[in-house]
Amino acid sequence: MKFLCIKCNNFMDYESKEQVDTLRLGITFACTQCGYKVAMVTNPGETQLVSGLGVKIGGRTVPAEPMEFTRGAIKPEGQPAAAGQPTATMTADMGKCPFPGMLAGTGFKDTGIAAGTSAQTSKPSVPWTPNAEKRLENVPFFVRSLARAGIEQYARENEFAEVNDRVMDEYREKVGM
Amino acid sequence: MKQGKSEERTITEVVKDLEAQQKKNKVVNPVLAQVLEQVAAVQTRMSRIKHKIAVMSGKGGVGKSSVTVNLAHSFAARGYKVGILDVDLSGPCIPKMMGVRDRSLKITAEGAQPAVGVNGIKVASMELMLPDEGSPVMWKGLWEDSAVWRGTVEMSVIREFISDVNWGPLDLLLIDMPPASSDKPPIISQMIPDLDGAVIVTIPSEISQFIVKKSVVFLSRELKILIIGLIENMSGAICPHCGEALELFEDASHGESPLQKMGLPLLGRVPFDRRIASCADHGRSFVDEHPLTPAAQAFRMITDSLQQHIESRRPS
Repeated sequence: MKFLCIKCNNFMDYESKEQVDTLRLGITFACTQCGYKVAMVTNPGETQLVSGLGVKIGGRTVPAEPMEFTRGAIKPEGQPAAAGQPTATMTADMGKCPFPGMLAGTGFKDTGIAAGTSAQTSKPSVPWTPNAEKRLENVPFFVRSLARAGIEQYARENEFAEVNDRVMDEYREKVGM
Repeated sequence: MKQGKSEERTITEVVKDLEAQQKKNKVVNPVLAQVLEQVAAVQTRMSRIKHKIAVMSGKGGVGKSSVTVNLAHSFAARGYKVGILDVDLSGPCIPKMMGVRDRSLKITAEGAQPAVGVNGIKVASMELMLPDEGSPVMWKGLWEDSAVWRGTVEMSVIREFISDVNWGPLDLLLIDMPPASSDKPPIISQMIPDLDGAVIVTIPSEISQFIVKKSVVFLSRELKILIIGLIENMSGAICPHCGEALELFEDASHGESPLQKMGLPLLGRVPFDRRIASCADHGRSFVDEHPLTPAAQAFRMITDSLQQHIESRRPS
């Protein structure tokens, strides 16, 4: 993805980043000629799809190891769905926002969203009440794991001991669902 | 689009100019560069394999894997160095049939080392990356519920199996395809452009031929994959008690099937023999252990035809 400064007919360059929340990153790009700025907010799901191609967004610094993608993509048996619960054996970018990788070589330090995601992924999942689980089933299946990860993250950030109706209501209000 | 400058140019014009400038300055898109590296790795690996044949069918349960394994043994008996790539990611059964289920792909600097089974046949399969026999194949990620995302992941996994498995020099790679799939054949046809062709496995039932006909049209017309011919599996049986030939399917006439009417050559008919399944269950070679059976003879005849095809097409 590139941004074009239509005033200067010039591709914009990465300038800075800001962590919107654990699963999203705001990235500012600026025109090197006129200084005009634009910010984008990443969608982790879309970038996950790109990472599914087995490429490092932003380029590789070391060559790929044999079967690197496959080894990183296999989900251990018994591991529940959703990105919030990978095990320590997961080494690839699957399950976390790969956008920090896109910023490799642009001066971006991989401590923002990546650290946040890492912290999020290394924590055990927050327990869910049966009613909250039932409500989650109303979310379309193809975005359910993303929703689960977001809700659990919200619960952790706001120090809820469990995902219950209150968390669901607050999260729903927050994301405007 | 309106510009601040004197001229008005479209986004297309601007982008093309900028990209031409980047090309001139040799600025490479890092993602594209990796994709090109992947393509190069596939080509390099496949260049060491003389012949590649896909074993396909639009229908499940017709015995593709069983046919694949027995063809591999038949070719190996003729001195061919043979490998089997099991592309059935969700239902991989080649390792068990080849007696290598307890092995795993060893990762080395040269690539993933395939398991070596009976007759020196090399095997690569998703099964060899799973912890145990009961483990299902599951992918992890934020979008693991999404069919679109899973399709992308599986394409990358197959690409890695093609590029990263260190087969060494092979005379023949047999590619065992999953059943009833419309997404995997395009991956194979795109990644292995010098595929010698595909053999289509069917059974005498009308339902099977009805479904397989659709896949033949898809493979040959849309993907331009050369269909070498048909193999009719479970084509009758010999009664173990009286030796009488039995038709397993009521409508099996052994006349010209709808598939043959499409102009596809019939490579052979393999009669049902439960020892084929028994050997597969125990990782043994049916054609070597029961060489005088009609089924083993059928496999040898099919191998004759395939050998003739690949050697005439591209002399090794």
